[in-house]
Order: sequence, then structure tokens, then C-alpha cells
Amino acid sequence: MRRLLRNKLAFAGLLMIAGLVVVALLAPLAATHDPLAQDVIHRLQPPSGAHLFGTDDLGRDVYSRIVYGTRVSLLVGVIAVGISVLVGTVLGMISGYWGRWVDTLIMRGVDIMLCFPTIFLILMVISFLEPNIANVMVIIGLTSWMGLTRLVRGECLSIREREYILGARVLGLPTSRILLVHILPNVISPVLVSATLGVGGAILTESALSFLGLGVQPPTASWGNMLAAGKDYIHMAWWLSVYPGVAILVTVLAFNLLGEGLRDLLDPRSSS
Amino acid sequence: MTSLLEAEDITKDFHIEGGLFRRRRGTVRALDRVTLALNAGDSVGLVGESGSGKTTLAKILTGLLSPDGGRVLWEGRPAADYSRAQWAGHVQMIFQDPSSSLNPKLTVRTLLTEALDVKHRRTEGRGGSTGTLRDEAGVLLSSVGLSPEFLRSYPHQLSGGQKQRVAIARALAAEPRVLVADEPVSALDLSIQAQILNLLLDLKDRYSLTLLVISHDLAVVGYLADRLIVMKEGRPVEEGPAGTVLDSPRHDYTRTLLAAVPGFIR
Amino acid sequence: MTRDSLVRIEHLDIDYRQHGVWVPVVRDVSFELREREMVSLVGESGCGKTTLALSILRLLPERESAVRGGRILFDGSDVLRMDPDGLRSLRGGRISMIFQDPFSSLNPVLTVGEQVEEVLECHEGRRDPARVKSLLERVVLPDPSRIYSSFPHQLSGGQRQRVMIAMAIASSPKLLIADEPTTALDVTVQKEILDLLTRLQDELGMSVLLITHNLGLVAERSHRLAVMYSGRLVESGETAAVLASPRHPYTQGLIQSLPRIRRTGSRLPMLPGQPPELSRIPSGCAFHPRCAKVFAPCSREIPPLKKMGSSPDSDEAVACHLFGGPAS
Repeated sequence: MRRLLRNKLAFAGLLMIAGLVVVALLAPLAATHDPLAQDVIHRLQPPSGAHLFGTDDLGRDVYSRIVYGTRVSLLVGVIAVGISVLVGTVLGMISGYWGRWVDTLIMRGVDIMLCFPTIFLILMVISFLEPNIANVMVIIGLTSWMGLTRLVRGECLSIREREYILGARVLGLPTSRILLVHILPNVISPVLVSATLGVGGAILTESALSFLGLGVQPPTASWGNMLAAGKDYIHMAWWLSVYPGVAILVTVLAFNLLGEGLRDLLDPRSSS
Repeated sequence: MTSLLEAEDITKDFHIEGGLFRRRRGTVRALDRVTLALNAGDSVGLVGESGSGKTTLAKILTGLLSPDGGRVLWEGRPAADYSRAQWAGHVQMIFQDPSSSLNPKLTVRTLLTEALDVKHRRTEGRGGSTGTLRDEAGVLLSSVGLSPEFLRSYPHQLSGGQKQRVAIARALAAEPRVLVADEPVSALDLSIQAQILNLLLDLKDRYSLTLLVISHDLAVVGYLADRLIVMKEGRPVEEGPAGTVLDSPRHDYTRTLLAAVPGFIR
Repeated sequence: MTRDSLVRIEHLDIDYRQHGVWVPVVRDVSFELREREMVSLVGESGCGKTTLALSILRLLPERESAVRGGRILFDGSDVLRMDPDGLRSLRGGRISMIFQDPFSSLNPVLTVGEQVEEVLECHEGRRDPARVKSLLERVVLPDPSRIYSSFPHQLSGGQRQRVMIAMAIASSPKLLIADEPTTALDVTVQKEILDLLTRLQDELGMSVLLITHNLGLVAERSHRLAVMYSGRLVESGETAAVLASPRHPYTQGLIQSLPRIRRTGSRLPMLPGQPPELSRIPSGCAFHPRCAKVFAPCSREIPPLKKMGSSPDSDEAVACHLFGGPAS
């Protein structure tokens, strides 16, 4: 932790994420208006003292909608990555520890999943389902575990041959204990890095889906659907597109900075 | 008299696999019809260079690998008759590099108590209580010459010699009858090696252990063992009482090994 | 037999940065390596032997280490004050070095021949496969044509170390530094590599500095032996003399604790404790907490390295309060 503080960029990422979490938790306090309250008389107002980021085509306060959108983005990012970490780690450990036909089966499954362009796979699945926030999270999670599976399998393969695992087997420790106590803590570092970087990716995917109208549905505010709504007015009301865009940029950047920082930190080759 | 641990006609091949469907590309014979018997109280040395199959044999005796041919017997009964936990109470092993044989993420206390817990389950049918396990771990540590304050340490906080002592304590936690030591000192500092060699002899006496010492170093094996087996390319080439093998080696390879020992420690 | 001095190290002090704190790694080491001489520098991990050797080539990590004092003279010129051109002619030219692990020192995607040829090209400015093959023959590699077109993974550990030696002698160096050259190898192969080094040293008239923790097999080969403990030289002298009658209690303890291949029945004599951490070096003689012969001055004063023996050109020296006599 102390070394994390020394890495300035990673620390900046951590601070930004902490700020975003606070905003999401305290959204009712941070917002200046009801994000859903329409005020057609004051529609498309430029940023001012009353409306920090201006108002949209229905007169809703853009700033407050962005504040509430933070909740959506973080939730989708964290839950989707949580699902992908869970699936990826479990499959990766099974594949790497047992080897043989189980490994072959899982790895060919990964190969098949990787054959589909992810975004089209998501689009296809979601067109059969009701587009809502829960489905978006699950689908992003279930289409992004392959890289992690490969990562965990690789780590597991090398750890399995270490002498401390051989020793644990000679001692007759139960396989569950070997997997959970001896192998898992040793593969968790790269998983953490990959997951942190993955949150940014998941947030981007959610924004893209919402932009296409397949994600979070209006009137609930999401940065993606705000961008989509704003594109029709881009010539007369730039603030509708710029502020949600900046919000996405900042959030993804924060997670990427933290992820890169963690990678430097947890990689034994880079620590002195 | 039935031997404690026997290996009968052990053969082990390693396959080189490749391609999409993991076809066999080639085969290397690591062990070729090796027979070995350990009687209770024996101290046997296995000498050979890399590729001689000595570590493969150790892995087969400890149950880490299964042989392709031949069988392993405990008191005359095949290894397959015993569970993994029971086998752990027969044969334990210590490895060459104590830095990699202890999980870096666990404290010495966890490393010892988890091993003790398995032993309790095996002998009493249930795990030991936290208090019992902690006390026993402390006793184990002092039996390998470390003070109980090391229970709180992580492996990276220990020196090489201390780590090897912890690894030995962990193996002893299972209360084995046979201890296999694979290059027990070759990764240690010079002034520490004698400490560990003496400790192994002390523990052998105190716990009536049967020792199988594996090394490429004739001096280490000669110091610890009463009986020597010289291995080359998966086959024993010479076997006999340590004194006889060292004084009047019959096989050329044994002579080559002896010639590499510096004069002043012969 | 007196020979001209090739390397002269005078009162060298080197610090390393460990977790942000400077710790002493080499302290007040004075040491001489003569022409056509093989010297072993013996010690346990962390005693400073590798640091000392790397400092001769100025290969210490720049930000993490600092030379606090002393001089290193190679062939009369001060290595610590050398300009980049001078250093270039030193490294891989007049001084070569081989390491413990010959596998990681070779590039896995190039053939052995290409790699040796590249080294030769640096020194002679042209590619010459015939020279490469004669070098490979020189280090007794069987079938040089086959080895020439082999990749490193196709060779055994001993063969790879021979290739490293071939590359090291390509520049006809005056000094070859060998850092644990045989530690990763089997005993019989160790012996062959040492035989080769001994022969090449003689034939090429170079000096060899053998850095090793192996007091037996490796050190036995050298003309002279220097023992380091916790950053300081504690004993040096002719190898046979030191091995037969060591003076310093540390050297004595090390030699006595070597397992003999014939057990005498009793337990091995052993040194208690372990080498100190660099950040916690004991006061006075760093060895005193482990020493059986410790007495009053040991914990207070650092014993200087004193010349022993009656003849003026005697090589024997020891740093221990048990021995009086004039300071060297």
C-alpha cells in the first residue's frame, strides 16, 4: 500500500476512483436537481450558475444526470468484471491444476468464445433479451472471462510444479485446500491487475450499448444514453455531448491508471 | 523380514507431447526397472547426476508420480491399498531449495499447523484444536532448533538455513517413518550445510527415521548414508555398503564421481 | 616466484542501497591479482565477493551502489576514473567475464556460431567462421561444425558453459572473471570445466579470478585463495597452505565443517549461527558472535589484515586479533 502511494499516477487513479465512488454513493446530495425532473421552458440552456452543465432537450439538469450516471457506470463495471473474474478464475484454476482432458475441453471452449467478435456477440444476445441494466452486466461479464481464464491457467500451470505445491501434496493436504490456500493467493495479483483494467473496458462497453439504445433505457440516466440523446443537438448544445464524454474518459482513465500502477507494483520483476 | 518401503522393477517414461491433440512426439525413459528396498532404520544414499532419474524415483516413492511399470510396496502391501493421507504418514520429503518449498504467502504457523491438522485427521479421525495445533507447532520448531517466535514469520523473513529447518519441521509434522531428502543442503550457504546435515542425523536418531538421501554430491551422501546406490541414466550401476563402494568402487562411473571429490575431503 | 601485478585493489569501500537505506557491502578490501595467476575469492552469499568482482569492470548498478573510497588499478590505470572509451576496451576486451547460468547468458533464438561470430566481429571487425570453429575446438567442444549451427537449447549445460568460455577468450583477455562458473553443473562436468579453465589460463597466459562458494572442488584449483566474510577479506594465502592450515577461525570452521565422504562416526564440527545481514553487521570483528575463540578486543576493534609468515614476499595474511605482527 505504501508503495502504491509512491507511484504518483496510480495514486491519482486511486483518488479519482475514490471520488467517483463517493459521488455515486452520495448522488442525492451531490446532485443539484432531480435528474428526471423535466422543465421544458428551460430546455437546452447552456451551462450557468443554476445549471452547472446546462440542461438537455427536456430541460433536465445535465450535471445531476451525470452524477446519477456514475452509479450506473460503476455498478456495471464492477459487477460485470466480478462475474468475469469469478468465471475466469474458477475455470482457469480447474484447467491449470487438473490438466489432461479437462484442460483441453476448457481451452477449446475459450478458443471458440474468442472466435466471436465480442461486441456483435453482445448485440446478438441482448436483442433476444430485454435491454436493462442487469442483463447488460451479466452479458458483459459472460463475454469477457476468456483472457482471465488463460491468464489464471498459465499461472496455475507454473505454480503446480513449484516445490511447495509438491510438498503440500506429499503431506496429503486436501485438494480443495491446495487450490484455495496455496494456489489462489499466488494467482490473485495478476487477476487483480487484469480486473482493474477490465472495469474501464466494461464501462466503455456499457456506454456503447446504451448509446446504441441496447443498454440502460431512458429515462434512467447513463452516460451512454446521454451521449446518444446529445448527438442530435451537437451543433446547438455541445454541453450535452461533451460532459458525459468527459465523465466516461475520466472514469476509464482512472481505472487504467490504477491497473497499470498495480501491474508495476505486483510484478516481482519490477520491484527492487 | 519384509522391508518397510520397497520399489519393485520401477519403470517411468516421460512423453514429449505436441500439436493440437497433444500427440506423443517422443519418449524419454527416466527410470529403467529400478528395484530398491528400505528397511526400518536404514540410511540409504542415492547418488547420480542430473538426468540419472534420482528425483523421479523420489517422486514415485512419495506418490507424486505413478510408475509406468513395477510397483511400490509398504510393508509388503501395494501403495494402491493406502489413501493419500495414510501415505503421507509413511513417506515425507524435503526439497532442495527451501525458498521454493515453502509457500511465500503463508506464515510458518500456518505451514506447520495445516500439516499437523492432516496428521490429526489421519490418526484421530478429526482435526486438532487451534490450541493443540499451536502448541505442537511450537514443539516441532524447537525440535529443529528454532525458537517458537518464528511461528509468526513469513518465509521471506527467514534465512536459507532457517527455511530448510521449517521445511524439515513441516515434513516431520506428518510423523513419517521414511524421510526422503532431495539435495537437502546444496542450495544452502557453506557454513549452514553442516548444521542441516547434523540436524538430519539427530532427527533420524530421535524419531527412528529411515533416511533416503539423494544428492549429486558424494560427500553429502557419504556423510549421511550407510548404504549407497549409484545411479546413471535411470539405472542403478553400483550398490553396496558406503565404505565398500567408496573404498573399492567397481563401476567406472563411480570412479569418475570419486575422482571429482577434492583430495582434502576424501 | 614474483609476477607483475595485474589488478590492484586498495582500501575499497562499496555500499549498496537496500530498501532505501545504504548498507556496506565491501569494506576496506585490499587485494592483488598478478599476471598469469588463478585466484579464488571464496565466501558465502552476501559476503561481497561478486560485488568486488563486478567493481573491477565497473558493472555495479549505478543508482543502487556507490564506491565510497579506495582505488582499483588494472594494468596501472585507475578503473574508477576511466572514461567511456577506456571502459569499453576493458569490458569484453582486456577483461572477460563468465557467469553461473550459461543458459540465460546465451540468446535462445540465435545459433551458437552466430553468437560467437558476433563477439569476434566486435574485436576483429570481420566475420570469420573458420576462427569461430577453431575457438570452439579450443574449448574442447566435439564436432565444432555441428555445435556451430546448434541452438543453445540443443546443448548440455557443460557444453553451453564451454561456448561461454569460447566467447570470453575470443578477445584474448588478460583477465577472465568467472562468477560461480560451475555451480549449475554436475560434479563430473564441473571438474571438466575447471580442467579446461586451468589449461586455458596457462596456454593463453591470462589471469583468472574465480568467484565461488565452493571451498572444495573449485577453490582447490587456484594458486591463491582469498576468503571474504561480511564485506571484508579475512584471510588470504597460497591455496594449498590455507586449505592445509587455515589461520582465521572462520576459514577453519568452514574447512572442518565440510562433509568428508567417509563418516568418522561422530557429528561434523559446525559453525553456529549464520552470516550477518548487511544492515546489522556486528561491531568489531563481524565474525565474533559465531567465533569459538572470541576474546576481549573482538567485539570492539575491527582486526586489520596482517601479513603472516617470515619471508618478506609471503602471501599469507589474516584479519584476526589472535594474530599479532606488523600490519600489511
